[in-house]
Amino acid sequence: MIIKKWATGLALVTAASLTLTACGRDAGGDTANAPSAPAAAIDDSPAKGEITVWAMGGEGDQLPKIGEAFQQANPEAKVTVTGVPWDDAPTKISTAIASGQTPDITLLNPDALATFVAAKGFAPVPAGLIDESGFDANAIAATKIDGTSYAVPLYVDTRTLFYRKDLAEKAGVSAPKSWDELNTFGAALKKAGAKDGLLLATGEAGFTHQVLLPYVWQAGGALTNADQTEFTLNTPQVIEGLAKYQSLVKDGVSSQTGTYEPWGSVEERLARGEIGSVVNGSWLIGPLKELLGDEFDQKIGIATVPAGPGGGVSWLSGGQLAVFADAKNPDGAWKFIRFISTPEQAAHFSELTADLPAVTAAWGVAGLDKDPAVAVFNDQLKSTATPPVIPTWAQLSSIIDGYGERLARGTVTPQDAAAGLQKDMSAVGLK
Amino acid sequence: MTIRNTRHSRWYLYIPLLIGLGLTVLPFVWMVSGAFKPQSEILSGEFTLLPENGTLRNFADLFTRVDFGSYFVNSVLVAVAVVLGNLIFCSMLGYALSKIEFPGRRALFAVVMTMLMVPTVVTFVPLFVLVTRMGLANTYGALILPFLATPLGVFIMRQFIREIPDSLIEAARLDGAGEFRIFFTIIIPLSGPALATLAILQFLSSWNEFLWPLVAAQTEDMYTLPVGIALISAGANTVNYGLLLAGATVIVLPILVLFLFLQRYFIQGISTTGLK
Repeated sequence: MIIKKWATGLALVTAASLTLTACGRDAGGDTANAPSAPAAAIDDSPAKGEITVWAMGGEGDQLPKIGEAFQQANPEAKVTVTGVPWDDAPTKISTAIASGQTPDITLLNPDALATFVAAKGFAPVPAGLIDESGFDANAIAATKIDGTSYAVPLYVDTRTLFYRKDLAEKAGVSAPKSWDELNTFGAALKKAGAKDGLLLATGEAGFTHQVLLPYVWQAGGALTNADQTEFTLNTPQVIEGLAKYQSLVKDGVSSQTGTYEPWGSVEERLARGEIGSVVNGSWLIGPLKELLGDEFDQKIGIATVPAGPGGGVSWLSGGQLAVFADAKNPDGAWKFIRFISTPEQAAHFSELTADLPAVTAAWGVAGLDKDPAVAVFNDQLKSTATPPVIPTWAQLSSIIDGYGERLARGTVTPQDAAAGLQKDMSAVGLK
Repeated sequence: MTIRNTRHSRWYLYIPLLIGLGLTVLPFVWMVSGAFKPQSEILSGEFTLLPENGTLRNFADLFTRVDFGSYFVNSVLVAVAVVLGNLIFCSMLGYALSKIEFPGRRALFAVVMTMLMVPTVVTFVPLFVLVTRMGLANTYGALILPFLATPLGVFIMRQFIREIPDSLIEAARLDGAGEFRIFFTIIIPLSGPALATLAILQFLSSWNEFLWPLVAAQTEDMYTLPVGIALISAGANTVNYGLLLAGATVIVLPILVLFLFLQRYFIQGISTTGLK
């Protein structure tokens, strides 16, 4: 769900920044940070100088507190965090890269990484900076382009099934474990009074693909082959996934025109009982507890997403920290990123923001495994997938959005949609 | 009798006018009332004009949670500088392009017209590169300089000044007035309505500008109001609509005041030109 406007924002600025990158940045920066050149290791001496960070939203509000802790450990360093509005951050980052006038670090959405790396905006992660095995494996995979890592995961965002427990009890159904149970579950919730059995976002540019793709993965389908050289969309598995998505509308479980808009209204509608269930992220927990108070436990159930033939795979996104190629203080920047990636600091940051830490060891430190609601997310993280990290993703995802809407409206069959996706996405390409 | 008749026969015209007025004003009313609503009420899905559980929390958040004062000061500084720059430079250029004969005048005007047709997105990144090369990134200079003179402003002023009779200027010249004297004592006083229009247009565009200050301001203390409000009201997964609407209300107020203030000059200017 995170930052849906990023796709459109990126598409607008990419062209401009790509063409200008060559003349916009001075030659020194280009040669010093040739892509995928092995970066020098970062030593253990204290960081020095000012470290400037761009961070968005609630993360931007809380990051200064980690900065203070960093300054205590590194008295000669100073961390300056500038808050950036989430929706428009891609424009700001792209323009900064194009002009060479960048801060040291930025927070970003994994979807956007490849675009900025293609514009030679980010420096590769120095060898040995972090222990990758301590992170969520898919979150690490989402930082790599052609085998080189360009960012360090800060938090992860995956989606689970939120449902109205009271309505389910009234209807005599329990949380669906498999695809077969999902449609009957949704239909039962609808009978028990919900307007939407399961809320599907059907026609939302920049977002529908995040709802549709997990069904493809759950069917055992994949967007590309293992080496990411070609699309593999016209396969029986993808067709099965698309058919599952379409069946939710066909069976009347989900509305043809379901929407998550206005942004932030999903929790309100779930609390009101207008929505019977929805697949959404952990950020829903806080607002729901606030809205429902003591009734939260009896009204809201959270479960891992129902499994299809390919398992109960859910969408994985999150936040990453990247260091700009033109950073003035790359040494300090990497040291700060290493600092926030320690389990203690990652746990502290998670407590401040309610984000799920990408550092696996931080879960125990933050006590997240003890909260039953959050523990479901921990389970779900064992089964996730991410879209390919490629610069064309903004265009590709909008193609998927379009087919998602047509599937929901019933104007295309899953077979034709799979063939169409293969053709249209191949025309855009993977590079 | 005739007056009464016209009045009588025209009352029905007010019906479509009132409907039009209602449609135009309604979103503003909803914005202002939304600024006083708690989040749950805004998202309740029901359309209510007045808040049921009115709250001042949105405004309190707006003024306390962030450095609202500095956003406001930045916005005012930038808008005032941009308006003044446009009034001075656009009218000067407009005068030169319409009343002074010099080689390349037509070509220069063609350049202005061409610039009018170039979408701002196209020049966005090059402009930022230029500004940073000049060492102006994250300064008021970056926020103000690129907009001190605008093609639209030059066009408006040129078209207006063209209509001022040449004989006035020639008479002044015969009396020994130089170009600056003519400009300041004849052209400027006669250009009231055009200057008022230009002031309103430029203030609006500078006050509402979002993308440029977002990119040009590198630290929060240089943010303007629209950027600051986007920063605090929209998170990754939620939008604080009450805060957003409270911010929008505060942003709109100065524009309303400016318009009410300039409207008098606007109408005055038009009526005096009509009498000539």
